[in-house]
Amino acid sequence: MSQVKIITDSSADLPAGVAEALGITVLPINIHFGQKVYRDGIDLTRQDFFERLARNTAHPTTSPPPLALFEQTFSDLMKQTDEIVAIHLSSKLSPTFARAQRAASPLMGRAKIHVIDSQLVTVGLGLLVTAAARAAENGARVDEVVRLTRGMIPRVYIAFFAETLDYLERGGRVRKAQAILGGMLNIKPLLILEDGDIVALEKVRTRAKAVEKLVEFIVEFTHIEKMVILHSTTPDDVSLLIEQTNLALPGLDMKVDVYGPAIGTHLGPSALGVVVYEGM
Amino acid sequence: MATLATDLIPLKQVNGSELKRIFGASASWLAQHAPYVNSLNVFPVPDGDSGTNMSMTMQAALREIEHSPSHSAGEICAKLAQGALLGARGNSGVILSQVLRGFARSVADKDAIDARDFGEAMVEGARAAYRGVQKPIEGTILTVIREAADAAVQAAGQTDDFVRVLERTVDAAQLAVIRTPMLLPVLKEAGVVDAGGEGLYMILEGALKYLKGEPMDFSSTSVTAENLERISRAEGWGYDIQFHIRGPGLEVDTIRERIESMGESALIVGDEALVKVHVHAPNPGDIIKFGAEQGPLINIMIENMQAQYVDFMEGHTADERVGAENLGGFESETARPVASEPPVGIGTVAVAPGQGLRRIFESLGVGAMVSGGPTMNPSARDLLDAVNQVAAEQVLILPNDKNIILAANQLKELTTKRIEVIPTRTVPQGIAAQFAFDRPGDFETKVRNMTAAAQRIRTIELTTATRSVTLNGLAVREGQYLALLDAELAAAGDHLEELAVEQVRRASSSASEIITLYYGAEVTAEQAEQLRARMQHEFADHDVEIYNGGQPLYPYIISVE
Repeated sequence: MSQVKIITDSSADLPAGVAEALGITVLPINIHFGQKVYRDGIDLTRQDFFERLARNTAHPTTSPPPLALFEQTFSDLMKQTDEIVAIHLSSKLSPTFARAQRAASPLMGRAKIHVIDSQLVTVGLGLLVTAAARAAENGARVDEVVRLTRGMIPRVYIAFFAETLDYLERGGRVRKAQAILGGMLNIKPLLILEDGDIVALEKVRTRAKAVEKLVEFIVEFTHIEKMVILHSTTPDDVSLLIEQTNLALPGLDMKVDVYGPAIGTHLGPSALGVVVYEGM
Repeated sequence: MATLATDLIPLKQVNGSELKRIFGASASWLAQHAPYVNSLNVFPVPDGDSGTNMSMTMQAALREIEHSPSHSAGEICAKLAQGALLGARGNSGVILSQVLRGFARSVADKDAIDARDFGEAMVEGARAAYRGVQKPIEGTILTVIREAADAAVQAAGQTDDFVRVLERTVDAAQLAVIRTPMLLPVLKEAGVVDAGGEGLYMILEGALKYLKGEPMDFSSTSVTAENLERISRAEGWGYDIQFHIRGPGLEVDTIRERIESMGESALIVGDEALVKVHVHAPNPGDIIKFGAEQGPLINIMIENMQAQYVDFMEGHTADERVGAENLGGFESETARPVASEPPVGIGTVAVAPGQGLRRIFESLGVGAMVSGGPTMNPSARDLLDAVNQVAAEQVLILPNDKNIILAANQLKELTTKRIEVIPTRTVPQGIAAQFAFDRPGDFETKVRNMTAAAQRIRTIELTTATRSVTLNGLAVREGQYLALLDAELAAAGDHLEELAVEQVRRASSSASEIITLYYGAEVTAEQAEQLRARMQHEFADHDVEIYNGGQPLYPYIISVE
């Protein structure tokens, strides 16, 4: 029996090499700078993206992988397996999940295709995808992979703050956070993903306080299995966050990563966040 | 008049009807002296005026009994105390309301009160006043009420002549007032007696004058609390007027033309069915009248825009009572609801002067706003109205001024809602507290978080000295600029911008990141931008932001965080 195949999208911000090593298919989210369209991770690296972001006055936008790409990917994979699990970023943040479902439904009779709304994004989604791929590699069947993935979703938490609200507002991804964000003052909101939606938890005005809030968020967990700090251009904040978190939770292993273009389009530069997986 | 006492017929007791007249006389006497009481301001900054606040509190109390048919002293006092409680403005007004409340409780079941009752009631009044403040300070209105009460009890032990007892009470009050600078060094340094104490003395003296049938000289130059409102209007302080006119058949262009001719910054939009009017004008009456002639009016909102501040310099001579007589005008500023808020469990009410500052608070999700600030202390009722407008059962109040905190605390007993006051002494402290409000948590947690947040921000307020004085070794000339750091007098200088930069330097540290300038009504956007640019140059490692606060009398309120 052939192995379960895992599909995701580039918003999972998988570390380099992981997709290849675990046989994960990553569909690129499209990043639009004006008229130009780049495929995330293929035509555009993280470094290119942030350089472009700094240069361009116009804000970038995103679009999901085209339907045809999903159809093509599914039929290609069906030549190798009849069990596929597609795990995508929160359906509340992008139509990618819906598109995957649409592409999968006519094929359901011919293969077991499960499309999962992760209700997460970036490294949070990445954790799910990696765990699913590892399970598949170890011979788990499709139902087990789905159960594992769904079980992890409520145990992964994402909190972050953006330096400015401009990108989030332009992207229209903050419906639920509107009330807290409608301020006249320049504010840095602390945002969390709740059931896949961006929700504003509270707002602060200085980066120092924002870091403090992230530390408060982290130390509330009784157990942390994995934690990743996400940033783009602010290594000093990362050091501060690590230092302060270590004071409260000495010995906690914290990985640091740069968030990618798919989410970077909506956060802008200089955002800082954490992804926490509390374990099963 | 039956209540007139003479040496021949000693007055043994007074009933409710007589008390009404006595209190009326007290209130008039205080109102006449309100400008003088206001001038006894220790700090030479435009802030809460004790004379105005106490006078307004007395007027509010009197309104409660004006039409009462009762002849019972107990009933009249109870109504009076209730009116004072709701009408209390500023710290001195709140303490006065406590005095009246203690007094009323003591005579609750009495139809008439004799000298002994009066003495006991005064003692109860003093006790209530002491209980009403967290940290009683001697050399204030508290000392005056206590010593007056002691004298009343003592006198009542020797004679049952009400007038004699009141005489001794008034004498003791006057002595206590004169002694206040000996008890409170800051008064001595400022060369004034305690304003609240003086106000209380005026109330007692007014009562005595009435009972003795002495003339209460309503001189034409003196200003009574009643006509302050008229004066502030006549002086042309602007009003912000908004309403909608319902059609059909409205002629938008005609309406616009007429209203533009009656005010400034007019904004009239709409169609035949509904016209929205927003205009600034010295007199709201004419505009409302014109509007009502066009069609039914809805959503009427009239708000005093800015400084209702009148200088009563005239007639003030250089006697031992130093100081300019500044009398804050006042409007019964009604609270106004902010954007419809979901009926969640906990909400906030904030007090702020200036439309810009109020908008900032609104944008941060405040449940209801109250207009007011340093020179315009809202009454307990104004605050209560706002609390009632908040769609939440638990309300946190941000007074944003040290002279409003006590009045806000009064609300705890005026509403069934759960109330807590975050003791914010400046507008930026209030903004910082409102920021912390969103942080998840129950009522107590929010109180803790908001109080802590307010303490972390530094505030610099810049204003003009209202008189010359030396305080805490700082020599201030009238008209000079003054800087307050965290609501305490910090420095004086002739250059506003220099002073601002110097104080920001004091308040900033390597850990601070943002300097926020809220510029006032008398500062232009260009001037503010110049200061912003200069600040940005001086404090290159900080972000410097400017916002139009629109507050009167304080050209800049600056926060460093």
